[in-house]
Parts: sequence; structure tokens; C-alpha cells
Amino acid sequence: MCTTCGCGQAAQEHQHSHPHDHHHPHDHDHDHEHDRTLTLEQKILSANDEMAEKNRAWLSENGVVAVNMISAPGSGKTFLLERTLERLNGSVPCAVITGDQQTDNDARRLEGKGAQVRQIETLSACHLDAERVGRLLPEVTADGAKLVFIENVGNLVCPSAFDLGENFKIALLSTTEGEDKPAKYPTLFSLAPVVVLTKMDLAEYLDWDAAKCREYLRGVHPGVFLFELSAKTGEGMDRWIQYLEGLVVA
Amino acid sequence: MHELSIATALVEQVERAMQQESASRVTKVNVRVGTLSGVDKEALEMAFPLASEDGCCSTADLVVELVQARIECNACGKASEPESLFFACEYCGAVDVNVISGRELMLQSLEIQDNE
Repeated sequence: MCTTCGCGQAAQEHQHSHPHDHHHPHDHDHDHEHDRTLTLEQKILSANDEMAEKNRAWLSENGVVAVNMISAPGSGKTFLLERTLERLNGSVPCAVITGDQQTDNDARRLEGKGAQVRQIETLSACHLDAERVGRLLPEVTADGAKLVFIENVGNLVCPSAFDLGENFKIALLSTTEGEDKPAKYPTLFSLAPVVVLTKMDLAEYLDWDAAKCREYLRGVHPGVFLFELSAKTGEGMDRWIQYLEGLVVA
Repeated sequence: MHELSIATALVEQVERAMQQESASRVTKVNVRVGTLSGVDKEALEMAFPLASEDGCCSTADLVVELVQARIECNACGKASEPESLFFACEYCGAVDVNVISGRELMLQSLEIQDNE
């Protein structure tokens, strides 16, 4: 039996001096290992969460508001941002950090509208993380931007798990996706305090049921704040712009 | 794939803990995953060996404990476990509820071996 731990496994090659005239060649090192439980109770994304907290502190110190915009690919995030930047031009200094797996197409679409724009190409990753966003926050706001739109990678599942340190999440849902998306992908819609229903101009052609969609949304997130708009026709945009202007203290 | 990012973060976290403890080998990684965390148990189990590669986690088993969603009603104060993701109090039907568990994504503990 091993005398260090009493584990019952023979420590090999013991070397003792015995009260007789020859020695037995063994030593006291034992080469087996001891199992033990190391209790950690850490959040799995704690490294990202710590970085997110730093971003949040930075935003608060610098009087900047950041919103994390999440939706499925093709729900109209970039188009809404284009129109939003045009409308906000002058009234609120803005910046955009936009994420895609590949290409800087979105950044190019958003440039020239009075806002600093930075593209993050995530390549294999399906979401933005706090570190990458944190690195860009100071430079993107260097010329005085007070409102930062973080356009996340088009994906309804993964980005909702990664806190970027934003003030809050805004989920977008287009009429073309069907009214039951909130029920199918409840994680995001239960976390985002604001939901924007986009492409409302198409609702009538799609037999899209607004009442049903609102019911699904309120089912997974009672009290959710809702915008219904079309960036293309401008319907509902006034209320959205007023809301954004209200986020930034003049 | 989202679980691969989670598994990679998990493996890095285990490696940091192993270094701090100067442990030589990890045999079991115990995690708790809430049903509202957006992480799928099977996908995480599949991603874990991929994220481990040749690192210290390649010899370890991942053990996932699922944590059921629990809500507390702000109207009647009772706690219940909703069956679907439409949260309503099981007792009074109110939808004004707080999620008290189910969002967990925790590295709970490791079974490790020390060289002596």
C-alpha cells in the first residue's frame, strides 16, 4: 500500500534498510498518480465576459452608447443602418462596427454617410466577440461618435451567447422570415429588449400576420419594445430615429 | 458552429486551471449547461474533442449536466419549470416572470491527477 495516500497501489521498488546484511534495491518514488476534484464554478465564457465588462466600463466613462444588432442573414440590418445613418447625419454622431465572415461589402455600403465604419471579418467564427469589438471602440469613436451600432454576423443563435459589452441588444426580424421566428429561436428574442420588424412594406404580399408575430414575441419576451418599419419606404422610420436620438444625451 | 467556439473557450479555461494547479492530467471535465443557454448538449459533446486536439483535454471526458429552466412569478411569487419556451407561471398563468435558472454555462469542476 502506498503510505503517502493509502491508495492501495504498491509503490514500486521500495528501498529500505533491513536489519540484515544485504540491501534490496528499491526507491521511495512512486510513479502512479492521485486523482482529485478541482472545483472551479466558472462561467465558460468568463474570458469573453471579463472583456465585455471592460468594454462596458469604457463606454460608460466615455459617454458612448453601443447597441448590438443581431438577426438572421438578409433581414435588412445593413440597409436599415444605411437609412439610419442618413437620417441621423448631424443630429447624433455615430459609428459602425460591422461583422461578417468574409468581405468588407457592408463597410463599403455604410461609408460616406458621416460615420466611422470598421469591418471585422470573423472568418471561421459565427459571431463577434468582446475582444475584437473592444479593440475597435476607441478608434471608431475618436472623432466624437456617441452612438455605436455593432452589426453582428448574420446569425440568430451564436451571437446571442457572446456579450460584447454593449448597452443592449436589438434583434431584427424581417417579414420574409415568417412570424414564428421568435418561437423557433427564443434565446435571442428573450434577451433583446428591443425588436425591430423590418421589410414591413412586404407584409401584405406575404400574408404575414402582424398580430401573430407580436403574440409570439410577447410570449418569449413580455414587455419587449417593438418597432415596425420599412427602411425602403420610410414607413415607421420617424419613431425609430426619435428613439435613437433619445439614447444619446445631448 | 457555435458550440465549437464554446468548446474552444472551455478547453482554454481548463488549460489555464491545469497550469495554475500544476496538474499533469485531467480525466473529467464537468460542466453545467442550462436549457436556455443556447448551447446544445450533443453538439458541445461533439465539439469538445475537436477543440482539445493534442492538448491536455484530449484525454478527458466531458460530462454535461443539463440545468432545467426555472421561472419565478412576479404576480404570485411561486416558482415553476416551464415546459416550453413560452414562459408563463404554472400556477396563475401570469407572464410577468423572472428566469431564475436555465441560462447557466459553467465549468463546474475537473477531475485531475497530480504527479507526485
